[in-house]
Amino acid sequence: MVMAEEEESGVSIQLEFPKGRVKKIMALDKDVKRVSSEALFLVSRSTELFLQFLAEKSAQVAIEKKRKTVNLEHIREAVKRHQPTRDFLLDELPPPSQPTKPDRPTQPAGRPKLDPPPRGTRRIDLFFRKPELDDPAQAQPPENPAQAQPPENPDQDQAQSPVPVDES
Amino acid sequence: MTGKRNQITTSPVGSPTSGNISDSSSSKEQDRFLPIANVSRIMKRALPANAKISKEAKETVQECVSEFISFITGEASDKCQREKRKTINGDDLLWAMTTLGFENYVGPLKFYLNNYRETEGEKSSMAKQEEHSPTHQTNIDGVVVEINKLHHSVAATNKAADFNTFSGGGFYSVGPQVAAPKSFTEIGGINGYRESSIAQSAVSGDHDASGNRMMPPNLRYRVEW
Repeated sequence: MVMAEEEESGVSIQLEFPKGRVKKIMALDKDVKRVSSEALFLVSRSTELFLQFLAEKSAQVAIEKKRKTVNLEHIREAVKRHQPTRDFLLDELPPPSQPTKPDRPTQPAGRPKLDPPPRGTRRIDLFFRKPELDDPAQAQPPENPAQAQPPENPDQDQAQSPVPVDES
Repeated sequence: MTGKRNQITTSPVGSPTSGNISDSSSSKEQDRFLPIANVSRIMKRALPANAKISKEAKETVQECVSEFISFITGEASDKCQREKRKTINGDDLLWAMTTLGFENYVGPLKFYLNNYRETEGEKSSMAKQEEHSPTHQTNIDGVVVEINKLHHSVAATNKAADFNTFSGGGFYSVGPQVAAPKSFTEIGGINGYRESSIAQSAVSGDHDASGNRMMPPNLRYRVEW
């Protein structure tokens, strides 16, 4: 894996994230069949931009609260302040009532989180299936309509309005 | 960790759907996130120098980034399905970002995309450099022509040498001429002796001068004597 920074003088521009990993994350969606090299490149770059944006906003929140260490609360606040990010991330963040786990293992494979990923996966599927419900061929009723209701409302608003609303 | 990585490396990317599902299910927890080292490095670059990031924050951002990828990819995939296409391309992703509220990213991404395509252009320029090698061979031919000219010059020099040899022969022919005056000098000496016997020094001097000047007359005088 090449971890070098962007080198325009080289044959190819090095990306921050390994392409294979990005491709696997994209392929988690079973509807994704093929991805062109340009698309993979754009996703890697956009992910870098998003990460920079999220880090900068979190740093601003930390500075406002006179903290030198960025923690979970600062990230949540930064997510809340950006409407597009809030729409797809606020539900994925750990709930505020959840206590901090100091002994969280470093290895991602050994993470004790078992509930959040399945919930996120389901909600993502429900969100993506919402427009597909109009197609009779791909109509699938949601498993948990009660839980799916909160994320569906903003999604419906977005789906109905062709022009996205910007709040920055 | 190492074993899982080997499995990831062994499994082909872009394999059939069933393969992807099985592969994802086997190492879903790891493939779900980007490497935390990369995430941490970019975060630190975007933050002030004295800022720090808690471990929990890094892990949370790691998850957020993966959700972002899935979010954008899903929207682009939906567009492809509506248009009956199977491959997600760059335009689909740019459209998805605009639709989902990340239109601010489209400008920088187009800039990056142009650089990416220029990189492809550089690859074609590499091919042009390969085409340039025949031109280099042509230059070598020119050098060969110059070498031939030098050889011709060497031949001309050889001719000059021949001329020098001829000149040498001419110089050698002058030798006998130099020897002949010696004989004449001896003859002149004998004449001087006869004049000195007469005891006329001035006249003898004149005779010497006339002798030197009138070699043919000396020959006639010899014939007479």
